[in-house]
Amino acid sequence: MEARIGVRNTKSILFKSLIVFLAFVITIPLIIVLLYIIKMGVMQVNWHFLTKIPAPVGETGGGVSNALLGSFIIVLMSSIVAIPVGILAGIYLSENAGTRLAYYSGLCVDILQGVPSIVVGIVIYFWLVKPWTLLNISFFKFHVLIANPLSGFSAISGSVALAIMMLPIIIRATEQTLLLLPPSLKEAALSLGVPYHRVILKVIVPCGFAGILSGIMLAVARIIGETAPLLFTAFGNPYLSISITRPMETLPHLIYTYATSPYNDWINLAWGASFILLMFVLLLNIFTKLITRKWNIQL
Amino acid sequence: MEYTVVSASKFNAWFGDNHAVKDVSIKIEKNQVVAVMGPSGCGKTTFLRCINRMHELIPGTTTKGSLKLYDDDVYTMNPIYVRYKIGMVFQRPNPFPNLSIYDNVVAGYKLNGLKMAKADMDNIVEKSLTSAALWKEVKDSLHKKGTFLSGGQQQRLCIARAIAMEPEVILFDEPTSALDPISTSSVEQLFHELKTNYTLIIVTHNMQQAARVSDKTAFFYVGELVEFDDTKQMFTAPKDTRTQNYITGRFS
Amino acid sequence: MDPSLKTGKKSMKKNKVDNAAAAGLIADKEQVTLRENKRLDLAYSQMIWESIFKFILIIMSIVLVIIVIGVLITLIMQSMPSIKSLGLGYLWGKVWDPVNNVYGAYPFLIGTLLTSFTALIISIPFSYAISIYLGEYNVKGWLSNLLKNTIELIAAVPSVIYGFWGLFVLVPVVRTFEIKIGVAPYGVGICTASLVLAVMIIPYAASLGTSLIRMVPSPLKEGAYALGATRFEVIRSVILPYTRSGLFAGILLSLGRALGETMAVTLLIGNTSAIAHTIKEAFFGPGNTMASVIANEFTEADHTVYLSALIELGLVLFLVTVIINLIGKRIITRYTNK
Repeated sequence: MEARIGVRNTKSILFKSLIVFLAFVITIPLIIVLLYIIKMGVMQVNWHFLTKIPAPVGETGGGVSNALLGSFIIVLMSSIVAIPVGILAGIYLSENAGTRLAYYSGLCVDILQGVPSIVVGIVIYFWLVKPWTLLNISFFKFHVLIANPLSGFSAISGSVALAIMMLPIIIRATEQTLLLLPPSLKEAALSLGVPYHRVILKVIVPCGFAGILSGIMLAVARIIGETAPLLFTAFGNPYLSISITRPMETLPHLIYTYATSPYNDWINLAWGASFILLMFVLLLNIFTKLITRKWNIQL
Repeated sequence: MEYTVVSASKFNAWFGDNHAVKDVSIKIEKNQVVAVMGPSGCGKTTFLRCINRMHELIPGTTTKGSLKLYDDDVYTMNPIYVRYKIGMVFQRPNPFPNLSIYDNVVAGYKLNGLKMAKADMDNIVEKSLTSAALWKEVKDSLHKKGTFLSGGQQQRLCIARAIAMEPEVILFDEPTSALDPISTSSVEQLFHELKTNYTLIIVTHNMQQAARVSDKTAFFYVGELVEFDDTKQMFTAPKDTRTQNYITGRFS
Repeated sequence: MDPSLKTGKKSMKKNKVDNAAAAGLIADKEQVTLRENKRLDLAYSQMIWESIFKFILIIMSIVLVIIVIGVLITLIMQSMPSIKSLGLGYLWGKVWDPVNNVYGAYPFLIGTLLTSFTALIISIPFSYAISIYLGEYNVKGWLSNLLKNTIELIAAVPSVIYGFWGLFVLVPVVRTFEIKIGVAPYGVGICTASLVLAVMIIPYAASLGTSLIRMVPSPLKEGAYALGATRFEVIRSVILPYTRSGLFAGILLSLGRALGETMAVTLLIGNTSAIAHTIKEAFFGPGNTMASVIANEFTEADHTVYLSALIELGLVLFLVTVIINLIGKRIITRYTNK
């Protein structure tokens, strides 16, 4: 009997060791990737790197300023669209749970969350890029005849594609945050003669601010690194550009294009860009955690 | 001179198919404290919430009959205006956690975007907190958030918040059931002082409280208003047997 | 708005103040009238804004539905040319030769299935281990938080960075390994892509699994302990059976993620549309997934059927990932409502 217990105990200990091993061993690939990117990338980053555009093939030097600016502009535009729509849709879902529209709408949020990002890119291509190409062709016939295949890609289309990817994250975060708020909060405001829209916008949303903000930051962190939707929408641009109706370069797209190029200079630029992108994403994630921890304690 | 502030005539309310308030007719006079009591599920809270049109905020609810504030039927009035004129204090103290004590008191103004000179607003805050017997305790921490206040203090803050709107009537939905005895008695003290300026309607689960604080008492049973009389009369010589049974504790 | 409300408004204004004045309660009838009227006007304009706001909320939700329906319709419409001219046989056509206008999706189906399922199988032990560790062995504390944050970090790293790293670090390693086992040393290929994909999808099943295991009711576990079970036995006989369908849902979600992953796979898979002859070759050699072929050839597709064939792949991807995700989510909601 005692030997039996001994065997079972040993099994239990062995199992725990296995679990602990497997759980922690998985951190090794992450550490390897992080360290490698940092090692290869940190050497690339200097003032020159941050302010110059990529040099033409054959010349050394150059930087990724076009991608930095492009990422900033595109992410900003996506956020401007996705944040209000996402928060409002999240408010609707939390306030009207149980209605038919809330059911189908929630279903669509789940669907959007699972759509592969490249599919979003395809669809936006047909919605915004192709029509824009045709418009350009019909209005600027001569211009296009000078072999300008980029005539339809635009920063706007890239932003719309990314905004669609941000929506599910923001919506779910808003919905869940608001559902956790006590109903007495809404009641107190309504009983004072405060109209519904002010109750939501001035009481409920501010009280759920921490959760909503963390949803927003997670959404931004997600799309800052997304490449696939941009392949056929914002495309890329070797020049520094702020025109939102023209193609625009972004960090992840630059990394993708230059990483697969045969030129060492470009590959180095890709390492530097990877380093910057990685740092952004890490900082955003850390910041999000700090904020939710700080505000959750107070609430 | 007395005249009717709140009157109901054959008033009914439903939760979907559930007939919660049945043909209630009552006349409540100005500057009185009216207690509404009855066993659980008798419709007293539902009726209370109909007075300031909070009942209709729950989906699937309906009402029928007349419920008047002075001469105007509450259900033909603008609901926002109704809630401005009729304040409410809830069972669990619910001050706004993201606002300071000062902002909580004038929340009815600030949340509505109603602008006022700072002096006027300070005035309202001091007056309301004094009427709620909270001024001395918080006057040095007006701009802190109210999270450090005790349950009783929070409830008095909610009362101050309701008073700041200068309503005609203040409704109380079991206001002391979540409070300890000391806080309860401080709130009950308030009722006595508040009735000079306001009309109070208090739903309570606690018979002794009804007997302590009110001028008149209404007894609800299974959705009907069974009896409405002077408190003294109700508790010494009730007219209806159901009232009698409730008071003597045959059911609760 | 009820017309009687407007008239009610006027009579209300008059009556209220008259009543109160008659009761001798207000000194300054004018002042109060002014204030009450202002307030009443405000209440009416606020009601209009309330309706506008509620309407906007509804519109936003409808927008979501429109987006999804739009995506589906666009995909179907743009696949039409290829569906019409190639028919269903396209899906198991073995040759992909756009130059000669021959299209067959079979290579990509194989590529997608091989990479996704290999990645899934590799990732399962790790996801489970993390779930069990964070859900049962070490629920709170600094080490637990550290691991949890690390796992979340794995999910946060952009996929293009994983691909880029893999291209320069993992591929040479795999190449040397392939030389050792006597296979053509491409370096890139299905196996490399699967390895990186496996790491990338671990966080999804792991975080879901952790929450599920933490939700196992204590009385259940305590009952088993009281009977003298060891930790391992409680996990094996109580926790795992209890969370079985939930953990399965986690696997489905990981699978959905793997199927749709584009960038890391495109960078590591070698981008060949030919089918290998032996299993070993298939696994260690280059290939293509549905997502990677779209990424590579979309902008080069010059004729309609070519483009539309690619989009048809996108449609299949869309439908499959959506169905898998919805099934997974259904299982989870049924779980959390148990």
